Amino acid sequence: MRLRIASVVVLGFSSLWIAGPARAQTTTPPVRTRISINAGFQPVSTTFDGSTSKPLNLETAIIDTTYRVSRGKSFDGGVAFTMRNDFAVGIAVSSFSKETDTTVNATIPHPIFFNTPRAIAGTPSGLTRHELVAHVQAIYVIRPINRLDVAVGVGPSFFRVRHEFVSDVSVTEVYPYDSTTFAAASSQQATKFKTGFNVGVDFGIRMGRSVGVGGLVRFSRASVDFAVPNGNPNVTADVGGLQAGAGLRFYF
Amino acid sequence: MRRLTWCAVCVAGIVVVAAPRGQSQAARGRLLRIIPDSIGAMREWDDAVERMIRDDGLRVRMQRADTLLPGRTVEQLVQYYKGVRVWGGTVSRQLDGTRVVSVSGTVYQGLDFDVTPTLDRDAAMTTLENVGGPLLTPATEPELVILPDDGGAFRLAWMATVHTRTDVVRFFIDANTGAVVRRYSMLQRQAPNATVIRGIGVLGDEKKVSVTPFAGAFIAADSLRPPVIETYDLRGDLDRAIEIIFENSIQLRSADIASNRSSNWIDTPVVDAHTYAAYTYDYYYKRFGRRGLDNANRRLVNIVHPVKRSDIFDAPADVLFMLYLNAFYCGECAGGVMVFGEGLPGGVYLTNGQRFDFLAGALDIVAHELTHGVTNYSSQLEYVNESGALNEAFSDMMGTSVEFFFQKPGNGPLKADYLIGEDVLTCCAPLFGAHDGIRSLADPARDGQPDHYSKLVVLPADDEHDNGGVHANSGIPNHAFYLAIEGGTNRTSGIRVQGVGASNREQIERVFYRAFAQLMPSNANFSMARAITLQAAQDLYGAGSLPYNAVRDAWTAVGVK
Repeated sequence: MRLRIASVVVLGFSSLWIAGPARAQTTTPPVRTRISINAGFQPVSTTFDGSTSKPLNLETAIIDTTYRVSRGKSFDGGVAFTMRNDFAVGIAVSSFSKETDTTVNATIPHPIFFNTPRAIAGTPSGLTRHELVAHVQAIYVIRPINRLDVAVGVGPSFFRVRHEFVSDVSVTEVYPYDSTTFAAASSQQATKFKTGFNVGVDFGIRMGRSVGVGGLVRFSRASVDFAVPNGNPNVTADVGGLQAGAGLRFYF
Repeated sequence: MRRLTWCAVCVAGIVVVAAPRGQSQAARGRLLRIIPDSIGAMREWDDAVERMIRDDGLRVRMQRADTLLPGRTVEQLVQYYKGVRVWGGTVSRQLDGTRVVSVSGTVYQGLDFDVTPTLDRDAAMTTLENVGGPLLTPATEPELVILPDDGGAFRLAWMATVHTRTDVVRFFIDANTGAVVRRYSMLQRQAPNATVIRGIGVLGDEKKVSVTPFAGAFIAADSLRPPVIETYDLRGDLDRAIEIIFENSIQLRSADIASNRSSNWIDTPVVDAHTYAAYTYDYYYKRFGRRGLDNANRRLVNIVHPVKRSDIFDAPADVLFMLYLNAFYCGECAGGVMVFGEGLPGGVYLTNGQRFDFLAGALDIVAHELTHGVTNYSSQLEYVNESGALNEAFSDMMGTSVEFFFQKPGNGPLKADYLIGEDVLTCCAPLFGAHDGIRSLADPARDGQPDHYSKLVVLPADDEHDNGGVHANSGIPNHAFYLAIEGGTNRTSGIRVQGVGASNREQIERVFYRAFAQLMPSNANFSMARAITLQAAQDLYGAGSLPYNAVRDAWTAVGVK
């Protein structure tokens, strides 16, 4: 499984943080609750392989598939509560959905002869990955200058990942069947829950009494074993990854 | 267009055989073998052919696109005289667009007699039914033909192909006297919703069998290939086998098709007949682009278990020979079938020590029989004398070629070699000089065949003498085929041939296929076969090419000029 840094941030990500209680000398009022809404981007592509097999023509067809989950947009919303001084706790929910770049390489047994496999390759479309993640964070807030808050958070992430895997391929073949071409792939959806972790930095600039703008960078990760139909062995995929985003901050 | 008289001296390369005088029904005439040896001669013959077509002296029997050379077509023409077919008068012409590339064949000139028969068709049928009790069907009604005899005379005759109890015989009845003037067997025999299931062959090998699910079972109907390929199991019912195969009195039923309840088929002759017939179709398609027997995906029908092994000791001699110890293709039986003999029970051997297993268990035997079908739908090489030996030889050549296409070269079971039938006709012990197989292309003399034209076996052209020794004399062209591929020295002539080599065997296979299945006229002799294979080699690879030289030298080595 590979992790690939794709490019710089394009859109934003969600985060939450809370500014510490305002001190008497500051011009900004104290904050007990902060809500953040971000549009973000997941700038990292991940690639993993899966393999399925099925009996065909008295032998076994092997279907090897490479899934590449490329960078894409995400959305994030969260809330944080000041617990004491510079410490807060929060929860954020992020959503990432992307059609995967899928490449199939398969060996299809010959219908007439034993031990005469035929190789095919194809790129099926329409297979998606959807990640819905709840990030729980313990947060420490730094205020280097007036109106700017920087929050560093860490905590567990609870992933719900839904991925569509290639479960079979159909081929086009004509007599004498010595070669064949990829026609289509059928897929099955697998959903898995898994606990991972997250660590991130969020900053906010207050533009008024209750409103501000901000941005975040977060890295979350979990390793998920999918029970793919006909999969042998199960497919293990890293989910989450580096996220970046920007959006609005509401202070109460 | 220049005039061409029917005269040997006008065209170099024409062999002229003058008809002797004194035959009772003989017309005056001469046999002309068309083997042009120059472009000028070929063009003159083409002009002559054109004139004969215009005058209704030749009619086109078949015209097909060449599957080996795009743009080429091959015509097979048949000679007629006053509307009556002249038996054996055939010409094969190869065209490249409208340009003639080659012409060969045999025509008879100088015919001059009345074609009104004294004996009418009904009288001819009565005569036929009186000789051996043959059964006639509407499809085999007698046809009036002009029949040349071996001495060069001609007579008017009724020709019919009829079914006897264990044979299919072509009869010629003199249309004036009612006498049977010629008869010979038409059996071209070996010796004198797609689903794939697992099958076990006669030799215990595992293979995929293309079947069709039907009523909770699998039936031996191949639906993976373009043509219908079916294998019928007569379950050892001899009476039904005779009625279906030889008498044509009843037809194969759907209930006769071999079936199996499980997905593991262990009826070994069914498995091998079915798969090997399909392999042979595959070979012809992949090697030559040919689509089955007639190049139009004609149905292929195999018949297995025509008798029971346990009944062998009660079997009459003809049944023993035909349905236990033989395999044959019969174009006139049940619409065209391949029949595979049951072989001998365990522990029973021929007197020479050979054991016969199910004949369907040998890929070369199955391919040999199917090739008879190809010949039947292409050159129609007459199954007597030299043309009959060429017919047999072509089946041996293709049977061997199919083995090399699908099996690894070597000795022993399921290996490709130049023996015929060695996988199922095996020797239990080296008794009386017996060995595996029945013929050898590499060493025809091993099985008593001539390997040189000087040793040609001359026999009467009747069914009691192997139609003129067709299974013996096939050794000569067989050996030429072998030498053209592998090279070597002919034992009789001592002439050494440089073959194209085993890795280039496809070249020689294509040359012989082209010659035998596309260019050959039906009454070709060995000399004509030499000329036509050289023409095919020139077409495909050029004059002076290695394949061309190998074919030329191989024919020379076996004494065919």
